Amino acid sequence: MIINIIIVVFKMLILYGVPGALVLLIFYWLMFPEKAEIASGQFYRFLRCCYKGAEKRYIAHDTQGRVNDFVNNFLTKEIKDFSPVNLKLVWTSETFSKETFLKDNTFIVRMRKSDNQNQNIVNASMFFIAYNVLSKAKKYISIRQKESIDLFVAKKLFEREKECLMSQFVQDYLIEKTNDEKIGSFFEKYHYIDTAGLFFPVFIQEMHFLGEKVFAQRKNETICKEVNGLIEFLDKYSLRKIGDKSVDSKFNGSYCKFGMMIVGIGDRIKKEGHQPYKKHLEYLQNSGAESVYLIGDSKNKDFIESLCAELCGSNLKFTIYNQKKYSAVITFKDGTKERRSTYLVVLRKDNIEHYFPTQRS
Amino acid sequence: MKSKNKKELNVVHDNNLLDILKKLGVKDEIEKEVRICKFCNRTISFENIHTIFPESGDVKIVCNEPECVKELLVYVNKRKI
Repeated sequence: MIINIIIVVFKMLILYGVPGALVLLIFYWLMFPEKAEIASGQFYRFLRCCYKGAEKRYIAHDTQGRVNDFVNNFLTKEIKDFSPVNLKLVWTSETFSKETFLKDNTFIVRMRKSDNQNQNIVNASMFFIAYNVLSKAKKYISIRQKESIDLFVAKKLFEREKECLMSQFVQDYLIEKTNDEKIGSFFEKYHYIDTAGLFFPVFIQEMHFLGEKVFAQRKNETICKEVNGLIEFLDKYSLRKIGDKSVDSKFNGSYCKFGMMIVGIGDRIKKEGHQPYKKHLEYLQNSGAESVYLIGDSKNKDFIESLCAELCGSNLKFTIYNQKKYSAVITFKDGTKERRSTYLVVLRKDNIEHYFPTQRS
Repeated sequence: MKSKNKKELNVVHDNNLLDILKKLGVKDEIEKEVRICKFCNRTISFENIHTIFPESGDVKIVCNEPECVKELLVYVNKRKI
């Protein structure tokens, strides 16, 4: 990547001189701050042999750039209304004292020399994810639920990066953590849910909703059980074959209440139009659903949008919360699988109830 | 441009590790191999230090054994609450 930037800057330098190259660099920094930070990290990497301060700058910029790129260009797109928090590495200074350390009550993570930069990135990312992803919902769920979510989110982060980072993550964290039977089982289920394209758009979205509408003081057994149920439900749903109506399409928990609606099975669209979907949404609304996930082939995008416009304009109390295209694997009746471009619209009820559960609930 | 919240993560570079351990008063203990990991009770060395944190007025050190790193993240999650 840095080579490409150098080539483009060099071309600008030849064509428009120093001002042209500077304008390009500033433009790049403003438009792609995370990529620019990774690039600046690489710049310092080359300076390590001749500039003492370059070592720490390389580690900090490279780590921050990669984590913040994932947060700002992946998580914010996957989770609607996700408040991005960016990572900033703070080096312990020369004025560091034991008194401040004990008072601040904070962790100090060791950063290895830059020859082990992969290890640094993995360690900092794991800390960051544990602290910042779904921070509200994590207050109420079990340790293993939290850990498994962190682990899967981290896997998604490292999947986007170079292969050696994934190997480092597998070696340092994944193997050890998935040795725990419960975490391993959750992780496997997330894999199937994610393959069906439902991990971020539905599971993490519902966890986000949960964090926003529950106001409890601490971990709550009812919520833990409900999250287990949610994972089971989505696991089953993600393995369903096209046209299989035996798998329930609604999850009606105490806190998570939603329904799934597949749009455009066979030639139903042409034959019956909006009517069956309107009826199904009425059914989901009467069942207490607070969110409805309409999922269909992206070639039916126009139909899904016109359907949503009609549904939201009717007496049903839903509005469009989010819409997005993503890739998902679908399973046919004969068991064959195919990756398809999928379109999702999330409808959300207008007035969402808030909950103040107690341990007795 | 939208301003973003920042989460600061305190880090120490290998080059400054000895200095920090000295200031925390644990360098000698590590040299004498009497400092143990908060989670697994293995002996802490300069090579295997992963994280340092305070607890009840004392300095705790976690080694880089995978099981301890796992415990540490559980601890991070718990302490946050």
